[in-house]
Amino acid sequence: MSTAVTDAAASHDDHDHHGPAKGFTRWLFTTNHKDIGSMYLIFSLVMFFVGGSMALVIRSELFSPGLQFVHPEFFNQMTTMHALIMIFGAVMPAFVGLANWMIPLMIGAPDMALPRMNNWSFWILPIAFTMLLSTLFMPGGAPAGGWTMYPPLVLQTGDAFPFLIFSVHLMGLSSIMGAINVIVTIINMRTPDMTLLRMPMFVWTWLITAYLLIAVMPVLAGAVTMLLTDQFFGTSFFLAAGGGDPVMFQHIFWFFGHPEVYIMILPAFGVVSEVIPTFSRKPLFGHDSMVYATASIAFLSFIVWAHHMFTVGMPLTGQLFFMFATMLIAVPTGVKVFNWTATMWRGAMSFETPMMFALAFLFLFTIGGFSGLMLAIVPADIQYHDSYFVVAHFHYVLVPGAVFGIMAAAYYWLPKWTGTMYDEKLGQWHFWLSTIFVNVTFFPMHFLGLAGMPRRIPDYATQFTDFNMVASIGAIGFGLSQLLFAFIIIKCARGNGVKATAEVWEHPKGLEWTVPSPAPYHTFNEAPKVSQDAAFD
Amino acid sequence: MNQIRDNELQQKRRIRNHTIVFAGIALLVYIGFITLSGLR
Repeated sequence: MSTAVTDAAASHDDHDHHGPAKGFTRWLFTTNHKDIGSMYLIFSLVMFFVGGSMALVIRSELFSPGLQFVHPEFFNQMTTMHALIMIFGAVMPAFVGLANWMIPLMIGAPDMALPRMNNWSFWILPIAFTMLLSTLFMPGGAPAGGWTMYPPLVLQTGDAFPFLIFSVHLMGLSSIMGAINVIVTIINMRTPDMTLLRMPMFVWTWLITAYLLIAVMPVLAGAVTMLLTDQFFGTSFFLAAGGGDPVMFQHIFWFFGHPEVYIMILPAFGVVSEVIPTFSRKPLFGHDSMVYATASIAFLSFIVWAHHMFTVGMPLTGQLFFMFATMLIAVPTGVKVFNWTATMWRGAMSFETPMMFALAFLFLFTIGGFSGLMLAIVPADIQYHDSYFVVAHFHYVLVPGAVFGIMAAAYYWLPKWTGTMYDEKLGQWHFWLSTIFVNVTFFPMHFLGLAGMPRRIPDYATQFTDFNMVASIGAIGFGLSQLLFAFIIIKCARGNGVKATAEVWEHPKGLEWTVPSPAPYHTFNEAPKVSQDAAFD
Repeated sequence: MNQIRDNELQQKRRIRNHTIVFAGIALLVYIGFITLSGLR
C-alpha cells in the first residue's frame, strides 16, 4: 500500500552530521520538531502521573463515607488541580507532542514552519506548571474552586489566585503558539503532491483542532484576565455587587470550554483513523466524509456551550436551542464511528496493542458519547447536573477516549521514534489491565450519579458506599497499570527489544513509514513524492 | 537557481504573513471578548 517514492530518504544520510547538540543545551535550545515532540510527550507523561496521583488521593478519600485521609479543603484542591493538570498538562501537551513528531513526517516537511516559536511554546509549559503546583505550598493552599474557576467562589482563593491566573495565561499562550505553528506548517510546508484532501486524517484533525485553539484559547485568557481585574483592579465584570454578572463568566468560560472538549478528542479521532486502517489492512472508509464530519463537529462545538449550564436559569428557547444543537453533534460523530466500523468490515484484521486501544476507544468513547446525549436532554440534565453521572460521562470521553487515543498513538509510532519494537506481550497486559480497570472505575459512577451522589464532595451518604469502593479499587488498579506503560516506554526507548523496520507494520499508509526507524534527526530535506497508492484520496 | 530562491522567499513570506494573521485573530478575540463583556 505504501510505496511513497521518496528521494529524500536517500538524502537523509547526507545530513546526519548535523546531529543534535550534546547535553542539556540540546533540549533547552532545540528547534528540532522531533526533540520538541519528545519533550512534550515526556512532560505530558510526567503530568499524567502527577494528576493521576491526585486522582488517587480523591479516590482514597472516597473509598468509604466519612473523612479519612484529607481535609475537605485539601480534597477540593485535589479535584481542581487534578482537572487542570490532566487537561492542560497531560492530554493537550500529549497531542501537541504527537503533532510535533508526526505532522512534518506525515506531510513530507523537514520541520515545523516556526521552529523557534516551537521551542518557546514547549518551555513555557514547565514554568506554568511549576507555578501552578507551587500553589499547593502557599497560604490558603492551591486553587480549590474547581477547574471551571466560577466567580464568586474562585475569588476566595488565597495567595494562589494570581498564580492560577498567570499559569492559565501561560498555558493558553503556549497552546495558541502551538496552534499557529500547526496551521502554518500544514498550509505552507506540505510536499507539493499532497493536496489538502490527500492529507492523512491525523493531520486533518490537527488542522481543525488548531483552528479551534486559536478561536477559543484567547476567550479563556480573556475570562481569567477579567477575574484578575475583578479581584485586584476594582472592576466588576462578574461581581453582582458592582453591577456585574457571575453567570456571564459561565457563558464565556463554556464558550471556551466546550470547544476545548473537542480540542482534546479530535486528534484522538485522527489517531484512531490512522491505526484502524493499518491493522484492518484496508484504506480508511470515507476519508473525505471523515474530514467533513470533523469540520462539522468543530463548527457545532461553538453553538452548544450553554448545555453545561442548563440549571442557571435561561429562557426555554435557549434551552431548546442548546439541547437540539448538542444532539446534532451525534450525527457527524456517528458518521465517524460507522466509517471506522466500515473500515474494519471484511478487513484482514490483527490485534496488536495500538489496534486494541483503538478498538477500546471505539466502544468506550461511544458510551461516553451516549451519556453525553442523555445529559443534553434539558429536563433530564436538571436531575443529572453536578452529579457523579456527569463525572462518569466526561471521564468516559476523556480516559478511554482521549487518553486511550494517546496510548494507541504511542504504541503505533513508538517503534518509529525509537527504532525498537515495544514488548507486545507487556503491551497487551497494559491494554487489558487499563481497559478492565477504567470500566471498574468509571462505570459505577453512572449508578452513583443516577442515585443522587453529588460531585466534588469528600464525604457522602452511606448508601453510596459500595459503588464508591468499587470505583476506588478500579482507580488504584488503573493507576498501577500505568506504571507498566512507563516501563514499556522506557524499555523501548533504551533500545531493549527487536529492531523496528522502516515500515514497522504490514504495509501501513503514509510518508512517515518511508523514513528509517528511528526517524533520522533530519528528514525530508527534499520534498518527497507521494505515489498514487500512498495518498489518502 | 533563482527560481528555487524565489520559491523559498515566497514561502518564508507566506509563513510570516500567516503567522501575523493568526496571531492577530487570537489577539482580536482576546480584546474583543473583554471589551464586549465590559460593554454589557
